[in-house]
Amino acid sequence: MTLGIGGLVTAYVLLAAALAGLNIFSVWSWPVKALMLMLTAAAYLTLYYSFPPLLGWPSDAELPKRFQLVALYAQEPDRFTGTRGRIFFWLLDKQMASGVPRAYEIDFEPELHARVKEAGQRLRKNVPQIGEVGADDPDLGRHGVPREEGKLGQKSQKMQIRFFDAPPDAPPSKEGLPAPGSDATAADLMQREQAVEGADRAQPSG
Amino acid sequence: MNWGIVGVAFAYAFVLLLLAGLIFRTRWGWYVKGIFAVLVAALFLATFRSYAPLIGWPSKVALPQRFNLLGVAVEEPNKTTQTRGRIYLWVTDMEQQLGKHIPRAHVLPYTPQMHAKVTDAARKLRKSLPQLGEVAIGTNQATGAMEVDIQFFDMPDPLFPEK
Repeated sequence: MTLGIGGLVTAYVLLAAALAGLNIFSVWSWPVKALMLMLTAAAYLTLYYSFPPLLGWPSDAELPKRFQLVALYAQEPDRFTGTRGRIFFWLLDKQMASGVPRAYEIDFEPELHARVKEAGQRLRKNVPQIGEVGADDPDLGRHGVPREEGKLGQKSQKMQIRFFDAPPDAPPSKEGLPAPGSDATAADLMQREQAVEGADRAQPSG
Repeated sequence: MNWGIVGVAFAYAFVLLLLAGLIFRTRWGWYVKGIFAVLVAALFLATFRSYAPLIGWPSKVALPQRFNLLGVAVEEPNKTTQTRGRIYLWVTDMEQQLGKHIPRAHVLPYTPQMHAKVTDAARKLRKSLPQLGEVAIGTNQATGAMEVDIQFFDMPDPLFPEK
């Protein structure tokens, strides 16, 4: 379960409640209580300023079910330095309206790396790439790892990500166009047809 | 060292101190103190689980002095939705040890000049020309305000040892 900003606000409020209780019911002197108040304020500020250095780095959270790839970066495993290798994705969640990309990381797998490399090449050719995480298998949990230890080895543990070319956006709806034989002027019809044709031409060629 | 983690650890330690004070120095009954101990444990768990959804999103912190550009995304200003527009860069710090590069996402305020620069750099990236970014901090002659500028260069070819 993940909580986000709501969880942090609740945590801050709880801390304030604990401080209030301490100040009202403790046998400490007032200077000590004032010091505790200042320290709590300092802790709030410290926490607030501690978040920015944690932001921007890739998350190991589950990838969105359907996403648009923005960029890729792969680090292959290195026996000499002992690095295990990771694949970093920068992507837009297709189920969210926000246009803010989020960074993710997953463990390196040669098969996935090959697929990712291919998607990266298509991306460089200006062909937008859509990724889909195949999580239809109920026995496979996060990152394709079996949920139950007893099932280890029975199912593939590979990350199920499929990349394909993004379909072109739908052209503008032709609804509202007058039926043939109606009394719309020729100029109206021509204007609408030009608008539809213009939208068709604007579709990416890939 | 990631100072963000140090700050969070300090704040956690302080909360423990507060709890200790509450337990040992108040006249509350032990069951109330017990409830507070459980609540503080829940607080720790809640904050721990609250970080995950915040990780991965672009940061407003300053870009590294020299960086390798990996990706660009631009959100143009939109008068209809009243959004100001932002420029997102995905970069690795060139100062990091080779093989330990972890990309980081940054967000910059939108300016038409920066948009043109990053679009040009992204076009070169697509042509397989790695882009090196350099941050220059200067003073605006007219206003006297500090300004951050970014220059992009084609990454120089690696030098191989002579045979």
